[in-house]
Amino acid sequence: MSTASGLATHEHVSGLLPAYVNGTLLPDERAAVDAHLKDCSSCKVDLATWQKVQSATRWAMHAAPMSSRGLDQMWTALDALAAPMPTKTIPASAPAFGTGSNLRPLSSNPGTSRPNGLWRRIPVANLATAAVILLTLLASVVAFSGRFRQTLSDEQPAMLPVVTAPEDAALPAGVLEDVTLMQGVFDVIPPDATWTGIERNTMAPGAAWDVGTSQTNGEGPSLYRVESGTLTIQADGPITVTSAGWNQPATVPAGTDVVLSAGDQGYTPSGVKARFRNESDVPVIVIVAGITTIGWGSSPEVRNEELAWSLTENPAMEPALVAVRRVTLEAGAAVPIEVFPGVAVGYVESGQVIAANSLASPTPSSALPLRAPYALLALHPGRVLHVTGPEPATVLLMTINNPNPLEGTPMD
Amino acid sequence: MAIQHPIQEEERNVVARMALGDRAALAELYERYERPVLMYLYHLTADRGLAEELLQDTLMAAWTGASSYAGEASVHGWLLGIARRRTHDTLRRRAVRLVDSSELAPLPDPDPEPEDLALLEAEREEVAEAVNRLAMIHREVLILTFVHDLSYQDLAEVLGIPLGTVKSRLHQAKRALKVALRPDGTPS
Repeated sequence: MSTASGLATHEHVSGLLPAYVNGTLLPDERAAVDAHLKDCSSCKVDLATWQKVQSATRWAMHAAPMSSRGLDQMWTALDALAAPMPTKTIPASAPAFGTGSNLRPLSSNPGTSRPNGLWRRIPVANLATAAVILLTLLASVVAFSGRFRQTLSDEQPAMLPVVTAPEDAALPAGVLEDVTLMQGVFDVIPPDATWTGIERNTMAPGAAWDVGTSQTNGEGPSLYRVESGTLTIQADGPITVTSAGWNQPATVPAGTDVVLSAGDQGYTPSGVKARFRNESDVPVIVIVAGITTIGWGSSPEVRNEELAWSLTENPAMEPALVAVRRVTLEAGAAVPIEVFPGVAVGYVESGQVIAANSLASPTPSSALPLRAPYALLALHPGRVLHVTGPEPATVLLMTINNPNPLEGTPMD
Repeated sequence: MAIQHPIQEEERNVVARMALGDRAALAELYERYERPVLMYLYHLTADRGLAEELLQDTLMAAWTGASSYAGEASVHGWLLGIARRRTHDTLRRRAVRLVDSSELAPLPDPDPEPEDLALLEAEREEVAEAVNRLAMIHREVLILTFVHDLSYQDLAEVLGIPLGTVKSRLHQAKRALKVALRPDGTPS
């Protein structure tokens, strides 16, 4: 073996030593390494160090989980994948298309006392007031048509009235309260929108943040609701807003400022970029639910918390009725997830919940410590929400359903 | 050129059956790979709950994407590649970076012989603790090589890097380990 070829062999063999140690070399490569090792003390030391690295790495990893929860939920997920999405029912808190009987404001205060603002800066309560006449007509269309699709003309807002179930409506067993915080129809969803979820964003005073772009939280339609503070929005296309206490949405034209207060909601369709600004002296907290592409996060002045999300290879159905509901579950309750049709993800806001695979109480050894806050990421059919703490639990649920169940069309 | 080992060939057939909608094939895949994939996800996320969710995600993606499996990587490497991409997407979305570019800066190579001897003389537990202190980019390649026993070809597939980079990354990881073994953990 010449010096030159010996050097080449040495470098080559040195590069192969990790694969020699883990047993993945081909037989002829292994033979070459064996031959080289006989004469190369440096490689012998190198080999010994790699063997030590192997041993230590395996030792370091010995505390990894041994097994998962099993395939049960996989089968139900595959069933769901093979079958059309639920089309027969719609959550009790969603609009009762065809009757209109349970449409009512979330609160008794419609907020009509706010003064009119200048155009280009519209407090949403006044916007809603101004739209009442038009949208009362729209509500009549909803009430009498029996078909939601008829409400989705180009001129009409895609955001749906936010409604609660009638007070005398029976809630499912174990459910103490079920309030729809926001909902809307996503009529266009980008084909590469693989992220579905709910975020909580806290905007510092002075912060600005573009929603609906790949530079921030991804492209795609989103719903939002101000939890606290005052949020100013201006979009490069029409967006839809609904004032707290009102169930009539209104459209805000492109390039127009709109100011949302706590409880006000908005909807930005796909392809529209909305700039959120906090022009006040206190932080703004806004909940955002969307079906978007993967983004790169918000600006440093915005604390972005992903409450719950799922990733999917396939785009969601189009159009999709998307809602975020705040559900309070009774202590000790076991509520099958099918009670909330179309549920995608959830987030435990308070209390302690375990998402198990059966109605039987989960054993402590198999139970994960899902104390609030906790994301419920894979709420596949068949899962059962068990409230395991002594207190009721509050859960945010994001649901995706067919906006036109009466037609009974498959979701895909 | 990889040899077609009988076991690998059998596993490729399992994926082919999955592509045809055979659920028994998915059960076989799960039986074989549940633990290694879960373990890998746990090491990436350090969150058992998230790792379990990502395991389900990975298997669902394997089921729906079985027909696109080209057979170039082993089934093990293919699955870990899916798992890594899904984890990466999730962590990126959460603004947690799996690989920090600063971690890719060349590490100073300590004098080879004394450092190698120090590594050899250290107790296994001591080196294991140093492994746990490594940056993800280095820990990950060691886990895939020495816990999952992946070939270089599979490492390239899972990590999405060229074959040549696999070797250099392994050597970077060993260097980083030597540094981490120093009492103060500093590079110099």
